[in-house]
Amino acid sequence: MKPYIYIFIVAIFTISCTKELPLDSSDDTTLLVMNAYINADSLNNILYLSFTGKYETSPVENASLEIRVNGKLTETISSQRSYSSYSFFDINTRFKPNDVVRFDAFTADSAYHAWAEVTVPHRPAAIEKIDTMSVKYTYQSNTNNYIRYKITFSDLPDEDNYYQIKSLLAITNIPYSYDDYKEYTTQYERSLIYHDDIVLTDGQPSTDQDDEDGLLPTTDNIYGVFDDSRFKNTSYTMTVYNKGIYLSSDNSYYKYDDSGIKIKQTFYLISITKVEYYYMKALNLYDSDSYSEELNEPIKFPSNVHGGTGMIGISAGTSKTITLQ
Amino acid sequence: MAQIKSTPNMLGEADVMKTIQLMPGVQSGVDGSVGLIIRGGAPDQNLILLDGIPLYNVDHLFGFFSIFPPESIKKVTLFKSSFPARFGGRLSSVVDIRTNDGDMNHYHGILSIGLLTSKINIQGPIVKNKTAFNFSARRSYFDILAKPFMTGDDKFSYYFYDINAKINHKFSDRSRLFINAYNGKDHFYNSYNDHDDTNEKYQNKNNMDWGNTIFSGRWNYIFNNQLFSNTTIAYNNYLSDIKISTNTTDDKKNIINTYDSKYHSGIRDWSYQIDFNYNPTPNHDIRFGTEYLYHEFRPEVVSSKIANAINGTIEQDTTYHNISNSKIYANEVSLYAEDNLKIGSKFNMNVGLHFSMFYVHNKTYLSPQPRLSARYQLSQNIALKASYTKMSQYVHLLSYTPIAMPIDLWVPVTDKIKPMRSHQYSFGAYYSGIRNWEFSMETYYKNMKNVLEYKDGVSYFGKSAGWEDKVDMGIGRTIGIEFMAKKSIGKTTGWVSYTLAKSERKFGKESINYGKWFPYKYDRRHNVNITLTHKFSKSIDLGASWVCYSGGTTTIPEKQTTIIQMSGIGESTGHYIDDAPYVGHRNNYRLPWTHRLNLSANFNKKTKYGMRTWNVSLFNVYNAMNPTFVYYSTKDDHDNKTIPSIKKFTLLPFIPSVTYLYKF
Repeated sequence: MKPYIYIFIVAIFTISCTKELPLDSSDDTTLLVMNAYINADSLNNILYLSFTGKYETSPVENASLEIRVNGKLTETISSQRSYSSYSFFDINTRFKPNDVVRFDAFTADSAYHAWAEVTVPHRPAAIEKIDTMSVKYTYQSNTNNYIRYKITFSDLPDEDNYYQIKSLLAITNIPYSYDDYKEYTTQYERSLIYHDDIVLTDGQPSTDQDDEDGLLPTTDNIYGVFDDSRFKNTSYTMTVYNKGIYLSSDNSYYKYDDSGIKIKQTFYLISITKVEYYYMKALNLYDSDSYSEELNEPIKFPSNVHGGTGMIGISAGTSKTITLQ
Repeated sequence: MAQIKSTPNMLGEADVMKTIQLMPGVQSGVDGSVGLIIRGGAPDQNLILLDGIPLYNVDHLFGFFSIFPPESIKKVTLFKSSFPARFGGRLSSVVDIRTNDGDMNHYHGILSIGLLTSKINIQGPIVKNKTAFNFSARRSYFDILAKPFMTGDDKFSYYFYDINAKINHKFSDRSRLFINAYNGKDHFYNSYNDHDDTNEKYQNKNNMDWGNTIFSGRWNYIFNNQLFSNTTIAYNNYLSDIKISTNTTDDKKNIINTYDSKYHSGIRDWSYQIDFNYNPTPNHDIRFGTEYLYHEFRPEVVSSKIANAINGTIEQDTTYHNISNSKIYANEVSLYAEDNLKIGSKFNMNVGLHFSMFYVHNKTYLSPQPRLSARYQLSQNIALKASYTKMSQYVHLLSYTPIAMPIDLWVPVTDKIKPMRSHQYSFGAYYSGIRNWEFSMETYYKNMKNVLEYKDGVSYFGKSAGWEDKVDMGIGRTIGIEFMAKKSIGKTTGWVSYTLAKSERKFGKESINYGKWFPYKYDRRHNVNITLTHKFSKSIDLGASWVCYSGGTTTIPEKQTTIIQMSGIGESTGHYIDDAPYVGHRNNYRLPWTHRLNLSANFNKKTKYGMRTWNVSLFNVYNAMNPTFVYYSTKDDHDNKTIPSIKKFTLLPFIPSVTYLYKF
């Protein structure tokens, strides 16, 4: 069932007349679009480049990218063409917290130039502890066994901080015989259920059924972003859930009882920039079922790109791994 | 009031607010709604007073009818500038509505039966020359009319009502007491059943109630022929209660899941006000006084109860307090003094100072607000006026749809969100040299500080938590010139007005529109209103109104861009790029013009006990397809290419109506 409000809106629209209006596209200018989520700890980052278009975007052929760290040129890269509507650059520079990084993208004819400057955020303090408990939990109308994680960490003092939480599950399969087969590990990004958590729900904890049947539309925090406004300069214990592990396989060479599986859960606590935080909040809204194009104005994505549009984010993270089995 | 009653309107419902919208410098918000956009201000910047009590919710039916049936109203005064110092608390206007006092000597009444509502108004003496009463009631009956057409388990009901009561008691020639009560409510209910492939059945019920309850007492005392006072105590309660419930049953009709959710929000005000009027000489009319308002904001409380049962055994029965915002208490104190003085035979001035204090969350805001207006009689028929006013506002309305909803939320200023302030300068010239005609020209400039807008990429979505981080404070400026020609005496009365106006906003560089000026949502450059009534005879009179205004603005995507989304940990290989609409600037699309002609005819006949009138109203006579909402969409062209499109919804087509009125 949809929230009550949509019943009313549907009623209004049912009795109204709809007509298309002329779309006066007086702004036909083309913009360079630069997008990147850069992990400061990685030497394999990608920056994507494309042109805006009236109906669709297009790649930028033979473009170049200059990267400066604290004013010093570190890389000049040529674009590569993907099979899609964008070009991309492989970035190999390593960035450190507090570095001021400038990205300048140029088209081959220098007719377009877009740039962004980003200060690499400080790495979050290490996750202090993770407590787990197996609990009965109702999600998507089904009550099942879930693992509840209580993750404790401290805010970086004396600054406004923006974070992202992610989790990765690693399942290692152990063969019956090591002679013919080796251990192999599969990694899964696990979506976290966080309806109870005041910080991840931005002060609006709810239940699963509230999201489904509730009064007010809910925007899911798909990207797990949050700020420190509720725990500034202090520590916080975050509560999230994910489902227990289902083991199944038709492969008889590997053990599929408790002795044949190693499960590790890693939580990543990532410092992100303010613009990246608001960008992901906008993405949360964009991807949300609550977003209605009839009721809500179109989403304007925050941008830190000058002379064009897009978002360049750089993050620095910390992680903690626990063994579940 | 006669003009309000004779102005043609939707479904024959004469409406105070909709008649005000026909004045120069005043516009409606969404087409057909009662929201007031006055000189480029926002709908929450209007101080609407019912017998001196500030109101928050002033509409029914999601903003399309006001809560003021004209039968209960004695007088309406609109201030767009030159605000006397006795008023404060909103930036853009004061609408001072006074209800009927009741006739001390004779009984009168009006009974009205229309397509949307029926109304009754009765007034008369309780004790002749001592105590009088005035009572008005109005109820809509869409729910009753729709009932026979509902079949099965699906039910829908909507009604609203207003009750006004006033008692006027004269203790002596010097002392009078007025006791007022108002109660009004909107009620929406629907229930329907649903089922899925698993033979589970869902029974859904939604119930919404919202409205105001107001009690006030005013004691009027004349000390001597130079000094009198009004002492008012009042209670105003605005409530919004919403309940929804879903029961899920299995194929054996056993309940397997129950979900009940409740939403509650509101504002409660207690106020005490004392006003003095002192006339030491004929050249001075001095007013001074003070008001204390105690606000209790209950932003929203949401709870949900979930019960699950398997084979008749309860597995879960839990109540969640999802949003438990604590009440916010605020104290608002204001002091004022003003003198309406005459200097010579040609020059009048109103000089005053309004001083207000707002205390909330251990934070105190102070605001001295000087007021000055002057009138100079240049010749017998020409007068000039100029004024300067400063205003402050301590409350904001959070809203996420263009129409008024019961989940719209009034919130006070906080330590992060500062009070809005405005400075308005106006100048006017008035000419009355043609018999029965008045001509006026007024020009104004208003600048505003700390006005709110949602930041780029965020939405309120009906939940107040964290609202301070979702909005940004900025500045606004509005400028305009208004012309009006009015004829108020004779068989034909009415006015023609034209307004040329501009309203803009500007916010921080990092928050909204790159820190550049952008047009306000209701920035409508041209606005023409023509309102006429003509009495053909004692038994027939006609009314007509024609409005025509250029479109406001909305935000639409200008082109396609790419956005970066994320799936994966650590390595950028988990990212993917997608096309999405690109919005460059806020309010970048100009809506089409709106124009509408309304006509009405009254057929009066004197009867033994009074006068009966048949009113025939034609709303939107030539069925103009005006935009109530517009939204951005996409469609596929012949080459299967996705192309953007803008769609408009027209909610108010041609609507004829008949109303029966009996006055006795």
